[in-house]
Amino acid sequence: AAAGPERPQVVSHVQQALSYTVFDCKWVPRSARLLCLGSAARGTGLVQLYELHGARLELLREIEKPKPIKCGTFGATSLQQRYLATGDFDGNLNIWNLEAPEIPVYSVKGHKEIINSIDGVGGLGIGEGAPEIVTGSRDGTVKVWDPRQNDTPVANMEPVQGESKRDCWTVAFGNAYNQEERVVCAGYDNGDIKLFDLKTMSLRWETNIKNGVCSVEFDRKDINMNKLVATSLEGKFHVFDMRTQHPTKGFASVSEK
Amino acid sequence: MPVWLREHSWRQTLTAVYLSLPLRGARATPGSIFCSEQYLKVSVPPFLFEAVLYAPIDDTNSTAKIGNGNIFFTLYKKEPALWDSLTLANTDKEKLQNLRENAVLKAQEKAKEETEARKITKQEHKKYALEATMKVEEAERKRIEDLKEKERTKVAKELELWKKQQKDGDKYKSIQKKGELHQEIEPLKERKNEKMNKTGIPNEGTSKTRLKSTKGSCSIFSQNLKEEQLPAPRAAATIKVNFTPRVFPTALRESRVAEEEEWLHKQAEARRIINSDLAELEDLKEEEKNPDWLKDKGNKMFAMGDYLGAVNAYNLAVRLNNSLPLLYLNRAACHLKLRNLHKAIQDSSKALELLTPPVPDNENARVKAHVRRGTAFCQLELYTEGLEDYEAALKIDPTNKNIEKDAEKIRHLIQGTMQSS
Repeated sequence: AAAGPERPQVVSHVQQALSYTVFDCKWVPRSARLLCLGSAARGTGLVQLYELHGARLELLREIEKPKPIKCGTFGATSLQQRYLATGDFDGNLNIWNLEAPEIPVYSVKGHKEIINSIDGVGGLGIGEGAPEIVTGSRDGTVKVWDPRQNDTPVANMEPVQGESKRDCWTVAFGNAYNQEERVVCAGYDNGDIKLFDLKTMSLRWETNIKNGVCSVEFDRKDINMNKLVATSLEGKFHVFDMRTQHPTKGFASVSEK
Repeated sequence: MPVWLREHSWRQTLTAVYLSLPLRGARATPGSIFCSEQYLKVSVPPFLFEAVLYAPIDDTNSTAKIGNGNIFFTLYKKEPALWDSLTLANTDKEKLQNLRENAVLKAQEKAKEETEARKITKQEHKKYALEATMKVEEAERKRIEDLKEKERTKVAKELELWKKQQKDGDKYKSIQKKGELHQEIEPLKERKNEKMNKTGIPNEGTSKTRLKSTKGSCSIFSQNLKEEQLPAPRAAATIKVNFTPRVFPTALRESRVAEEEEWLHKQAEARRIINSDLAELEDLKEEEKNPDWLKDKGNKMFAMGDYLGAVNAYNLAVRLNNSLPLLYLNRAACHLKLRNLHKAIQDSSKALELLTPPVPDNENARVKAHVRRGTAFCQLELYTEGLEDYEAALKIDPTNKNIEKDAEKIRHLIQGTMQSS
């Protein structure tokens, strides 16, 4: 069907076939380079650094790690350092200096199972406050890490004793408009979305959208909470208006399939 | 016999003939005019007018106007010439007949040709329309592709430009740094010279290290400043979380919820049944709790003639699984043998209920159920109900002779009782 002039057109600049499973890809901030993170066929982790040259991608660097890597972020590092934080299949959180990738700058076995999602805040000159990294894992916990503090997370959202756990599929930071305020939103496979306030260290809001939550993201993490989008299984997505919270009904939302 | 119309009037020019035909009050329709090259007929029952024309005319272009109680023909001659009269004078019957037939045939052929020509033109029009739309769509697609291509090249150029700027910027920065360093070294050198002059001891080595350390401390200092601007790491805390309960380990999907509910329901049912009889079933062996095994046991006992034992076995099987129609069916047979007729009727009815989708697969079972219920009715002397069941059985299985015979017997019985009463 011919697309009308009103529909936005996607322009494809480069297409590249890869020979391994890619789980995540991120632009390297302030550069024409991008990273692909994934798992090679033999079960090891792979980080590939590409540079965009006109109409093609040139592979600059390939780094292999013992465990497959599921997700990565540049969100918590400064613009000069540009360290990459990754979560792998074993539950390890590592921060790498890509110039010297043999030894991680920071490493911790944060979770008992695969880290499904990772997000960073406070870096790249965006927003204020301490740099922090949040990881969500299949073991049902969401942990917030500060790269200056080794081994223990600064916040840990775990199920109550004896409660059966649900996989956490996605995490996102938000509301980081000054040094104290921070909010973490987590989506789980049973449709739960939970909003944790890190300033008061409490659960601020939770809801269930009836389908496993694939991804959550704030429109901008360095301003007062504005809009939160949550996508789910069965092709549905919900947009919540986070500016006003009703004491019992929570946040207003629209949803579409 | 049609009435011939003779009162026509005509006049002619070199190329055309104008014929006016009064209709004496009758109404004409376009269908009543038949015209071919040399033959013209107007048939408005009961009036009839026909003319074999003096010379051939062009019948496709000639026109006829119907109105005001007469028809006005404008006939264009094939050959411009003056006609002596409208019609040919000496026309005998046979010639007329032939002429008529030819005219009809020719008209038919012409009609056929016309339809063919129309079909062809229609097809051509369709093809043309299709090609035109395809061209338009193609043009649209190309336009969008061109836009995309333009955008792509523009962005690629911008990217290259930006990269170049970054490189130049870096170069510039490194040059600047060197310049700054020189500037730093200058005053330090001056101080060193002063010191040297003061103390007179050459301390180049220390000055060098001092140089290095000052430079190093410069950067460390700047970093410390930055770190102090960042707040300290948060005090560690734990937030306890409760999840919306979910039985299945898989992710929640709306489309699966119905299935999952059903499955859970069935599991709950099964568990309840097993648990409710737990006290009495404790001393039973594992196989004795299996409804199928119990059904087989019952069948064997029935075959051996132990009807009470069979009933017991079926009872237990029904308690464990009350939705197997065969259990009720077989229990009905036992009750028949035991002459528990009411119970037999109940059980065959329940069996029929469970066999509700009447498919070819459960034909046998349904026939048996009907027969057993019918027998029970008859033994209770409710012959009409019994006959109903036998007829239902016959309907399902018309080839069974036994059922037919029994049905006949019952009919006779009914007729006999009716006659006698």
